Amino acid sequence: MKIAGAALMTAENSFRTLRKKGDFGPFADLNAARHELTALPGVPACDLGDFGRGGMTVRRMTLTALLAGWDSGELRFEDAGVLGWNGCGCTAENLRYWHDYVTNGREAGRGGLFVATLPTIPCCEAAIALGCRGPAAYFRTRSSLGALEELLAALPPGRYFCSEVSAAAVCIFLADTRLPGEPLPEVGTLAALFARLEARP
Amino acid sequence: MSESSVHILGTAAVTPLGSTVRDNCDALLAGHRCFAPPRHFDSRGRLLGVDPELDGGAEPSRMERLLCKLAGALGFSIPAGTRLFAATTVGTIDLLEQGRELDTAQEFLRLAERIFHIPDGILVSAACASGQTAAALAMRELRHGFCRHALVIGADIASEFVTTGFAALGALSHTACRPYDRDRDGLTLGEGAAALLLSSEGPGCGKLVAAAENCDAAHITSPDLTGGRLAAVCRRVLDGDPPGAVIGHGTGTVYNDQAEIAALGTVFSEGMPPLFSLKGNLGHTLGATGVLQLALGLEFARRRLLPPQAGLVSPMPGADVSKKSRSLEKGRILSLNVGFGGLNSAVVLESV
Repeated sequence: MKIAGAALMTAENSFRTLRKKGDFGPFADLNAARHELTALPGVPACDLGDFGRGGMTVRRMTLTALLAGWDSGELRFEDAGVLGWNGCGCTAENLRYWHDYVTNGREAGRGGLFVATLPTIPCCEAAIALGCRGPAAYFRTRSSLGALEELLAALPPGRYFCSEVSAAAVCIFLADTRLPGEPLPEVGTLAALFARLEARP
Repeated sequence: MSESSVHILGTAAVTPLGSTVRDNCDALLAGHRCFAPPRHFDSRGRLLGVDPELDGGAEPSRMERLLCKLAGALGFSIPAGTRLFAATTVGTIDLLEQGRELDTAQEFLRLAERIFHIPDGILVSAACASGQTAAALAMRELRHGFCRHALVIGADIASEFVTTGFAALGALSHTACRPYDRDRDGLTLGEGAAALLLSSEGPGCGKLVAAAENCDAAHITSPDLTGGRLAAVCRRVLDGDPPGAVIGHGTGTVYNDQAEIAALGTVFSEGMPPLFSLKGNLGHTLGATGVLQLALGLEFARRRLLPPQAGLVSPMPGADVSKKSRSLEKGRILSLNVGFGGLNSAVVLESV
């Protein structure tokens, strides 16, 4: 499995990439980040017309996926899948919808908040933005990179954006399972993998 | 990678219509429906496919009762070395309703690992395509030799959380769902659970032959109404060999059924196979529906019978659905799942 690109977004709205050593931000907000990142030379084709529709997790995920794609040097990802792995799932979105419903009642219930209560929604929103028409799903396994590598080896050969979303960071690797790659260190999270690979000379 | 079939060694299904695959199949063939107002929350008159046996106090949770009921209904033993693939959409959402701020999917996986005595399970969540996506992943892991046996479970409960959410989206039927009907007006939610024991070693009672998934990448809640991407996964799994029947996702919403019929119309331009949706009987069981479709679909294939389409009054154009049960020419079934985010899943199974 070859790592074609990777991006990390931190809680301070800063972004770094692995291969091109991109370093962007910190940004005042995600709209400012969107304007700068979508203006990068060689940025992949994307449609962020509905950027404001999703919640913060969706926006963080979409921008980080865009940068992981940029880091790979590719422009189009129609065949790629978008996967979610471990992280915090959609707990914050579940609580937001439920508290809104309990506070405001049924008549004022907001369907838009309900839509976000699936852990695949950030993956699917990123897929829509980048035009990725491969599989999309969220998996929770033991915290081991080996478990993720096994999942990827089982899936149909192709390119997959592999995402890990937490309150502190969003980390996305673009893995190409059709190509051989170097052995990866055994770590428990994608953010830890990013840090290990970033530190290599 | 070997593309050999994966053997189905055992199936289980617990729904409001029965606690065995046979009882559920008999009920579906008789056209039974299970819709009633829930007793565990105020649905404001909405009917749901609820299982009264799951009613009770806060402890254990409704999801725990459902998974325990499924474990008690397995009817087969779980071999050593079995890997668990657990599918759900919202998991233990009843605990969140009670005020516990937890990851309901993670808690679902923890519960399933405890109840089925299998550590290090894999949670699979792909909206309403979760069940088939889990079965597809298990099939691939077996083919790769990552495990010898796989227990695939799918489960979701009827909840105020999900009911009010779909109500806010305007997706619920005002009466009871009518999949593939000309005048369908929305979905009816349900609850249930199902299990498949898969193995690389046969023989079993059936086979999973092929699976494929993709994403429309078009709209977050609406399917691509051309059905183009759904048709693509159908073609990939069929590989030119038409099925004896199609178990569709068939939620009864205007858009879902329209997209499915558009997809099937392009795949089967020379004649649509008989089509059926469980949801007219059981409601939409969310993460369970895919596993239920495969477990019950295998029983339909073995009996060479397809149930009547519950809720049907006038078929929508292009849909080969019937108010009567029909015999099947082949014990080969195409099963479809569709989910929020434009997710599409197709699986082919065969009886042996």
